[in-house]
Amino acid sequence: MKDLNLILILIDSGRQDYMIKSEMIRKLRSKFSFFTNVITYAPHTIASMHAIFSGCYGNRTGTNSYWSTFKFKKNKFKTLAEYLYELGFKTYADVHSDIVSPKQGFNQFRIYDEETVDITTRHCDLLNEISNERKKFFVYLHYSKIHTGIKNEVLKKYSNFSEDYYKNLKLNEERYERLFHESENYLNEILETICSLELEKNSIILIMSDHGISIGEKMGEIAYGAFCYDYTLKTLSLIKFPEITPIQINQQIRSIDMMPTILDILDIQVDKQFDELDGRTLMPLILGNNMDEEIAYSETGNPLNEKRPPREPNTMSVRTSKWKFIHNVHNNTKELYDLENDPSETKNLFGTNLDIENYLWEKLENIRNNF
Amino acid sequence: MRPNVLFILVDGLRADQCYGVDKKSHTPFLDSLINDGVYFNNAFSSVDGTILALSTIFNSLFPFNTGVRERRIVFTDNNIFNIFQKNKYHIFGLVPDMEIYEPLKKKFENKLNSYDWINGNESLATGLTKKIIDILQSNNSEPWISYFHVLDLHPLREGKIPKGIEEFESSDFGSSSYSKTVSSIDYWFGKILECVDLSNTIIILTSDHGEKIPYKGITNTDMEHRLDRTKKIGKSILPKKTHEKAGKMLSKIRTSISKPKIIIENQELTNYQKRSRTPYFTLSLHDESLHVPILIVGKGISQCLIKNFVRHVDILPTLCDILHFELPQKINGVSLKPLLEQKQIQENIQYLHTIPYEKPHQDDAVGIRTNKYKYFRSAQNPNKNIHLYNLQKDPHENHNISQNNQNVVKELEEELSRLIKNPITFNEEMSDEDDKKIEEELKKMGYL
Repeated sequence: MKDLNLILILIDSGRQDYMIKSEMIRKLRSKFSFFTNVITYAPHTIASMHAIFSGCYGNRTGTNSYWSTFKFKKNKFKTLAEYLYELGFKTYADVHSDIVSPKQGFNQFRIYDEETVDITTRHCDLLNEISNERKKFFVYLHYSKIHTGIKNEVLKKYSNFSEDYYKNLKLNEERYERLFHESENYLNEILETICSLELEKNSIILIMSDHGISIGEKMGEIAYGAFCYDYTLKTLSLIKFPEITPIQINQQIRSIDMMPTILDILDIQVDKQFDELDGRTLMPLILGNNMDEEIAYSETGNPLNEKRPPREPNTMSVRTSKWKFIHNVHNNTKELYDLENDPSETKNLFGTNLDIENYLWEKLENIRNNF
Repeated sequence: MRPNVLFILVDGLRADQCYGVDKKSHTPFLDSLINDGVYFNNAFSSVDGTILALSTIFNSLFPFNTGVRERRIVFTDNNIFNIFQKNKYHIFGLVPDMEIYEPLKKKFENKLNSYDWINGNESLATGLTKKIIDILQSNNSEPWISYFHVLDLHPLREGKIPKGIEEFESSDFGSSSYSKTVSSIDYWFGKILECVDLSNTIIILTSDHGEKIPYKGITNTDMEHRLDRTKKIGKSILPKKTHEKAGKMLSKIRTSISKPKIIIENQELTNYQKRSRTPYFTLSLHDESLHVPILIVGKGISQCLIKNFVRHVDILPTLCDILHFELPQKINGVSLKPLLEQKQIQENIQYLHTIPYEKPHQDDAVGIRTNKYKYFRSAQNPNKNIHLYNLQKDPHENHNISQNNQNVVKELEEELSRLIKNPITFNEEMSDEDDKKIEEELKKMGYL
C-alpha cells in the first residue's frame, strides 16, 4: 500500500458549471486531474455521499433516499473509511449532520452547527491538529454553507411550485453566485493550509461536489432532489497526489468511481468478502489512457406537492454523454433528451421512434432491478 | 395459557462441561434440567465469538448473511424479538454493559437492562443473580420472553479468576478454574429458577461459543519470560512517546526467548492439547471453540437426548414451531421439533467463520462443518491454511488430513462457495428511534 494520507474536500451543492467557470478552480488545473463531467448517483447529499463512500449505487446499498441512512447494508458494502481504518489510518469526518454519510470506519465523526460555524477556521484547525499525528490519516471535510444559504433563503421561503421563485431568475443567480464565491474562499484557505503544512507531499487531495442545485431552471424544483436533470446531476472532481501529471478529463464518469480510484491509487485490493462495486477505477484516464464510457444511473424522490421527500425514489435516469432517459415512476412518464443539442433538457424526444430510447430503457431497468 | 420463555446464554460455556464423559464440573441442577428436557449434545455455533454468534441465533442466519465483520449485533426484520413481539409477548432482559449489546438493549421493556461486566464486577455470585430475579419477579405482563446473558466465564479469558467462586475451590467442583466456575454458575441458576413458575415456562439454555481449557492449567503465556525488571527500567528511563514501540520490541524479545521453551514443553502434546494453551483470543474454528450446549426444558417438552448434528441457526425456527408461531421466511435454520417427536430430519451443513478482530487478520478463516467433516481455510485466500478433519475418527481434530484428501477438500470448498454465493437478502431493521432521529435531522437541514 502507498504511504499517502487522504484529504477529501466536499463542496456541498457545488454546481458543475459554476465550478468550471471559477477562477479559483481554474488555477488548480495545473496541479490536478480535473474531471469536468462527474454524474452523481443522487441529487441530494445523503444518498449521494453514501454512494461516493461505498462506490455503489444506493438501490443496492439500501441508502437510496433522504430517509435511508440507517438502511445502509453495512454487512455487504464496505466504505472507503472502513478500508482505510482497517489499514491503520486515523479517520476523521467533519460534517453538518449525523446522517449525511456512513459513519462506520471513522475514528472521529464530528458534527458542527451549520448555522453558527466558522467552517474555514474549524477545518484549518482540524488539519493543523491532524498534521501533528504520527499516523497516516483520512480526513473528510464537508463544506455545507451553500446548503445553509439555500436552506435559509430558498427552502424556508418558497415551495417547489412558488411562482415568485421562478419569476426572478436573476435574483436566484446572484444568490447562488454569492454563496458559491464564499465556497471558493473556503477552498482557497483550506488549500493554503494544506500547502503550509506541507501535506501535499504525502497526501491525495480530492475535491468534489455531491450534487448541483437549481437556480430556477424547471418549475417543480427550487433547489435539488426532485428531478434528475443535469443542473443537479452534474458535478466536478479534482484529484491530486504526488507525481501526478495534471490532465483534464471531459469524458462522463460517475461519482461512484471515485472510491475505487482512491483504492487503486493507494494500492488497496477490493475486499472480496463484500459485494461487488458498481464503480470502477479511473486510473487509466488519470494516466492519459482511454476507457469506455459507462452509463450513469441516478435516482431521487420527487416530493411533488408534499412537504417531505418520499421514502423511496420515484424518479430514475440513465445518462450517456449524448443522451438522457428519465422514468418518472410517480406518474409513469418517460423523458428522453439529446444532451449534445439540448443540454438544458427542454425538448422531450420520448416517443419519437429513436432507437436509443429502447436501449436506454433496458439499461435503466437492468440497473434499477440489480439489488 | 401461552408459556413464558426464559432464554439464558452463558458466554463461552463448553458443551462437554454440561454433559458427557469429559465433564469435570459439578452441576446437579443442570443435570436435573437435562433429565427433564431435551438436550442436544451435538450442537455447534458458527463462530468462535459473541457478536456473530448472537446475530446468528437471533436471526437464524449464518454470519455471511448478517455480516462477518460486524461489531454490533445485527437485527433483521425477522429477528427472534420481533417475532415474539408480533405474537404479543413482552420482552425483558439483562446484558453486559457493552457497546455491542446496544441494539439488543433497545428490545427490552425493562429500563435496568445492563450490568457492569468490567473485571467481572457483577457475576452471578456478586449481584447478577439478584438483578435477574428482580426482573423475573417484576414481569407482571405475560406472556414474556426474557433474555439473560451471563459473562461469569469471561474473566478466565483475561487470565483472571471470576469473582465469587471461592466456595467452589474444592476439587469436588472440578479440576480447572473453568469447571469450578461452571459449577458455581449451576448453583446460582438453581437459585434463579426457584423464582420461576416452571409449569408455565420454557427454558432455553445455550452458549455463544466454546472455550479453551488449558491443558494442565498452563498456557503458553505462563511459560513466557516476563522481563518485568527490564520493562520497569525501560519505563523509567525512556520518554513516554517511545513506550509503545519499546513495548512491542520487548514483546518480540519475550517471544523469542520463550518460544524454544514452549516448543520443548509442548512437544509431547497432541495438537488439541497444544491449541488449549494458546491465548484465549486466538482465532479458531476447532470444535472446542464451537461445540455448545442447547437445552430446551419446560412446559410441554418431553425428556429426550438428541445426538443429531444441529446448529445455532436452528434454535429460532424450533422455538417458533414449539410455540405454534408462523415459521419465519428467509432463514438458514430448520425446525428441530420433529426430533423432539422422535422423527428424523435431513442433516444440514453448518457455515463457519472466525470472529473478526478490529482489522482483517491473517488467521481469519471460513469453512463448513458436517457431522463427518470439518473443513476450513483462510478467509482471504481459498488456497491458504487449508484444514480438513474427519470428526468421526478424530473428534479432537489432531490430524489435518487435507493433503491426502484433495477430493473431499474440493467437494467441501464447492459446497462452501455455493452457500456463500447465495446470500439471503433481507431488510435491516430500522427502529422507530432511528426514524425519529432522521426526521429531526431532515428538519434541521430544511428538508421537512
